[in-house]
Amino acid sequence: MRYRARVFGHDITLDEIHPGKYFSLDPKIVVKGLMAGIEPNFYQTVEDDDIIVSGRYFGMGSGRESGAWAMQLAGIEVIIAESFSRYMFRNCINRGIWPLEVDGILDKVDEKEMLDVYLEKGSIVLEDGEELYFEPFPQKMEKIIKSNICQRKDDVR
Amino acid sequence: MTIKTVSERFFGGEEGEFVVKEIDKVMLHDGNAPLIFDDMEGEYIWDPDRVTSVVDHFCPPSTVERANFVKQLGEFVDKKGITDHLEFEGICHQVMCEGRVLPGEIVAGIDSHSTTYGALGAFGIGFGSSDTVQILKEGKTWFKVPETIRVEILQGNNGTDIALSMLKKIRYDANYKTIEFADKIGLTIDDRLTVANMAAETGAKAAFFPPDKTTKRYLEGFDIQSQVDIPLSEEENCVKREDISVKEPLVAVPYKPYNVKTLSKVSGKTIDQVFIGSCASGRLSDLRDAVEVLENKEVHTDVRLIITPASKRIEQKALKEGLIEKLVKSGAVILNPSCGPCPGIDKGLLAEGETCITTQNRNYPGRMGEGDVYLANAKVCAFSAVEGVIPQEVQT
Repeated sequence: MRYRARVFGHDITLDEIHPGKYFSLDPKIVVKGLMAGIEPNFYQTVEDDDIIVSGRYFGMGSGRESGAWAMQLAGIEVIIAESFSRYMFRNCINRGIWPLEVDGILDKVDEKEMLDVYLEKGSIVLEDGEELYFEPFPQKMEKIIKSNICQRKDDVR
Repeated sequence: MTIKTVSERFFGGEEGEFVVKEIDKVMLHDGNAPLIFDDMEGEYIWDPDRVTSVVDHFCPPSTVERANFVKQLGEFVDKKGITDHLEFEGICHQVMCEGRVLPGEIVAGIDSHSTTYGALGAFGIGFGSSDTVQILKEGKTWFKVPETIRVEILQGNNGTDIALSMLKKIRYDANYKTIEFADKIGLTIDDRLTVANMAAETGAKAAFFPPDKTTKRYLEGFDIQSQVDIPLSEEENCVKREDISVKEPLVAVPYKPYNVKTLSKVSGKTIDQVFIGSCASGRLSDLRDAVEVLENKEVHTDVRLIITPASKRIEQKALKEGLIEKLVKSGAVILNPSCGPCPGIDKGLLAEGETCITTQNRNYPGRMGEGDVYLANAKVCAFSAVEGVIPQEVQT
């Protein structure tokens, strides 16, 4: 799949990914909180093929699942980071979002760079042709991601 | 299989292995439980008697939407047969540790500070709402058996300072791992609760103090007889060892809990609000520390001092001891046992440019409204409330 990278830094916490004031059961409010701790109204700039690229420890702090839910609502299918908090990792898997751990990704990708992501093979090809690798998910986990056990498909954009 | 670490003992698998493990108890709270209502529609809970539901985030609710969450949670527990539903009883992690969590158990909490239960020799593990739905339906979930980090506590006289010292050393490096504590100085359960709670800030999956005589005596206070013996890991099987020796009070400065400095490095900083409370604190020992500083003194005219006892049980003890009266007399505002301003959703939010010093566990941007948050022990916080600035030292 070909995706457009939206790039954030290292150590992005859940309170930045989804500030507490956007906690709601209303998808229209939840989606507005996406990355709002860093870039208010980020959700309005998200296009269909956008994914998140970040550095070390994406999603540390709170385990509030509204962060992963906001990603799902905005149509983010993949997050590539050097590492994830265990909450963000598990919540993404349960919401059908692929959390890919790729060493050194942050320094290599520019904002809005186009990336080719090969999930089965475990590789990402950058615009300059460089290929980066990640451990593909075991079949058991792949099944969980594809089954997307939280079927919140509300289109709010 | 030879058990090499405490993580292997709890999960019954080898380090790195994926295992499916049964859950002993589940904790739900009003802050995150609303996200499971839709997915639990028409589903049965595997064992409602193993589930505790707590109203503590929106307690009492400050908006109509939050009032609806609390109402819906009440309806949810009725419909699903959960009888242990607590409103106005205290903060979830505190009430779980008041006679609910037992040594040796695996407890799943719908909250990242569930690591707190490690103070009592249990594995408290936090989950998001989608995992919690699976656990409620099946009573089990998957784990990857984590690596274990040993932390030896060698010196220190306050749980918050020991915790801040740990955060400074480990930062986020315990992500996906267990932290086990070798307590060489005989910490009280209050202090262990603070340390295990703040272990969540390292990313740890679980924190663990082996149950000992102190644990046993504490549980006897709730009419629980517990003889469980769970040893620490063999040290050579831990991936890392850190020693903690705290000699002076510490302060975490914005915007990471691990940005820890000694008190003298941050003294003089002007303070607008002081908050003593949250699941990291607000226990009897913290309230006693605050009284020790505040008795016969007055809160600075430019400072708001907000205090939340961590539970009703603690509040009643504090009333009996005369602590609450002394705190109110000094100018403190006492809120009912609840999360309070810590997660940025209840009374006590900061305006832009304001600064708060607090015993809570997080100081991320936006955590408590718009301002900056510093983390410190109850005495440092109380001194700041009197002086209007972070003090040079704490002496009583």
